[in-house]
Amino acid sequence: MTDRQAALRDIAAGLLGGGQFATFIGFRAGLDPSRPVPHFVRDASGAGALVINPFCGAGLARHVLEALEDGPVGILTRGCDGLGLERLIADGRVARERLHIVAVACRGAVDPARARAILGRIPERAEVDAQAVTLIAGEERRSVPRDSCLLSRCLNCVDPSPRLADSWLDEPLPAGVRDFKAVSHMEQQPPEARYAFWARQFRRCIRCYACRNVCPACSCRSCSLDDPELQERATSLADQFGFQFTRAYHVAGRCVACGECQRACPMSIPLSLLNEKFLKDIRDSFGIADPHRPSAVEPLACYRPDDPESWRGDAR
Amino acid sequence: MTAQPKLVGFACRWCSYAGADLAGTSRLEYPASVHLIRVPCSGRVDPTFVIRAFQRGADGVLVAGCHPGDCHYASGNLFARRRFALVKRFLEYLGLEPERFRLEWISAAEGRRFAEVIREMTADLERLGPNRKLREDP
Amino acid sequence: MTMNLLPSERLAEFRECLAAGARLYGPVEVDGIVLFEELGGRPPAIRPGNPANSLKSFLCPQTEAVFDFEGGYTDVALRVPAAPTAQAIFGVRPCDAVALERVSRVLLAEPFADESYRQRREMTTILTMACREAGPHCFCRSVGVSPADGRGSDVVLYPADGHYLLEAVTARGLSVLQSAGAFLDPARDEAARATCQSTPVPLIGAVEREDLAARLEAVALHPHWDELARRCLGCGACTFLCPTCYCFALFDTVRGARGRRSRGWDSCQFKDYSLMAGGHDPLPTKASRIRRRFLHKLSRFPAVQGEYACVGCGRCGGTCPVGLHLAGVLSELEEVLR
Repeated sequence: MTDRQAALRDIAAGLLGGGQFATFIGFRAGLDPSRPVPHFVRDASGAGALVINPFCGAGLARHVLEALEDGPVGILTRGCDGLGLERLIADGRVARERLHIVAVACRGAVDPARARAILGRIPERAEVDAQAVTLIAGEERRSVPRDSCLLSRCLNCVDPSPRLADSWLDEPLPAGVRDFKAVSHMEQQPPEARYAFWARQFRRCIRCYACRNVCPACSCRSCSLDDPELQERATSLADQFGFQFTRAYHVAGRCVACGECQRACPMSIPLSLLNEKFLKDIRDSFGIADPHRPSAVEPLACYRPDDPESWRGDAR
Repeated sequence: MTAQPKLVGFACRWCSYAGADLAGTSRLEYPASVHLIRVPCSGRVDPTFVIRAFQRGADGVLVAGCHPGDCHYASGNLFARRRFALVKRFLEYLGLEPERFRLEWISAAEGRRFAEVIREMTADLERLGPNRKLREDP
Repeated sequence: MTMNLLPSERLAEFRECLAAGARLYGPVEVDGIVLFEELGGRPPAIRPGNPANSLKSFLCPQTEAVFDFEGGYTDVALRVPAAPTAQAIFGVRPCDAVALERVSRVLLAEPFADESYRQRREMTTILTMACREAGPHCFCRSVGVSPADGRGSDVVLYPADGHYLLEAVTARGLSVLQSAGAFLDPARDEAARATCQSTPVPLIGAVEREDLAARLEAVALHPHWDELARRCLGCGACTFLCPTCYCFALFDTVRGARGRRSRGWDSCQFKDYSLMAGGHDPLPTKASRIRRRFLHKLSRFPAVQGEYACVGCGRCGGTCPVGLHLAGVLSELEEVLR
């Protein structure tokens, strides 16, 4: 852990000291030890503030857009960040050669709210491995199952390491295969139950659009959500459904399943469950094995003359 | 007696709209439930149009275009096929009944097919009753 | 002020008595998140800290109709919505109640009192649960609010072991206690209040009250705001969830010859929030918008109103996707000042 942190600081200091890079993006300690915050280092002397620990939860990819305005960027990159960067590169928003990607293998980030609920106080440190999470505060150490306190996006993660890298802090971990268990479960519910579930979720949306602002696939310079003609500001249930559909559809075929939208949502709306539905159907309908990993052509920006009309088998 | 369902149909101007025309000039009978909107191509139909239709009171939505291979713009309907295959499943995922949304290929020569699709869909929608989901005045 | 004791086991009956004449709201847990919602018989989820939404949801709703309109150019018929009915909100934390008092200073200021807010405020009874334990992001005491604060409340419940000490703060609160007299014991328990008054609050070290406004003004032009802007996503969740933010915008929903004019929350953190006709925008950058939020809450509002436009509820810090906690930002600014 500390080895990686020391290596990270060295690399960041080297990049910034070399004069070629304007910013290094990583994390620094927050006010609350279980919530480190994204941090932008501007000169080599500031690299000592960088931290890596299992509480580093926020996605970093989207931050390169603004940071690149000042010059080339070095960035700490986990699997999810890496997919986000790939998305931004594929969308032509970021030039690969203006990035230095410092790759790190990630075993999952701790959800600070869940960890605190388990411990009854704010954890100071955590250790995450393939089996369990150990939460530490003062003298107290408690080991709990991963699914009780990791961020939900980390529980679904199949990309612990980035596919793009300029330097590595450790050995990459192997990629996995997405199982879409939660989507399959939802699909098996009757329509009325599904509607009631989503109505309950969408009703509490406050329309802050944090889901859009963190999303590496939602980087348009001007967004239809800001146009009152295209997205009315009313928040009736019909409008909430309309907005949620629009957001999910606009990233369909381009979503990298980083789960940032769901992590960022202040009202805990399970947005990943929407994105994953599109991913699952893209896989099943168009035979694309890992649709969340950006490829040369997006699944909805192409076609095959013999695309199956699978819906014809459904109840009409 | 219940009111007739409201069916919004987006029809491509080259094939399906002409097919609807043929149904009319052939004096084929089909329910007056459909409100047909002419679009340049099924590929022009933004999924948001479908959502809007449901929001403003449609009980069902039909997107109709040229058969694959016959698109006036070569590939518009093939893009539409991918898009609406996903959208259809997604609407069901949100809790809409599968019968409420259909994507169909109807050529300019298929007046009979047009009438048949409208009859089928209207019967399905009558059976389901009015749609309350996604509606702004439920 | 009138004080009574309510045995803990009679709390549910006390709530039922409130629900008799009004819609009763309170914190409930829905899908793992605690929200203020209509209780509808559910037991309230009283947890340390605050629910995700604030009382704004019931006093300045996310969107509300101003009027419905129908007609053409010459004869337009307007229909205003029905007047609000009585509501009671149970399990409010003292900071949220104080926030109403702050918002009222603006929205009820004559001669431009906000009629919709005034009507709702008059129909609302606030039943506050003083804090025996603070939430992880609380910093009320550092902005002059106490875990036992009664401002803005009608009744304050001070929890103790086996009972609650009830204090009526307003005449409305007094009538609540009178109507619930059957459950109450006129005994007093001063210790219950004192305990809440001394509840430790976690983040107060980060926000020192002394000269806060002056110290903020001193860093108003510091480049550190640009650093904060790099981190900030510009989503505005902090302002939507803030109990003291009251900005709104008007918008029309038109359907043929009919339509509705509504008002809904707006946020100073949004690009275009302050864009004027002619194209000038006094808050053109994210840094300028973040700075505005801090200065408004902690310097400009106090300069006019004598109190902060922040009650230390901790929502902004608890929910910000990138951890821009108000208290955290202030301690960072202290660092750069040094």
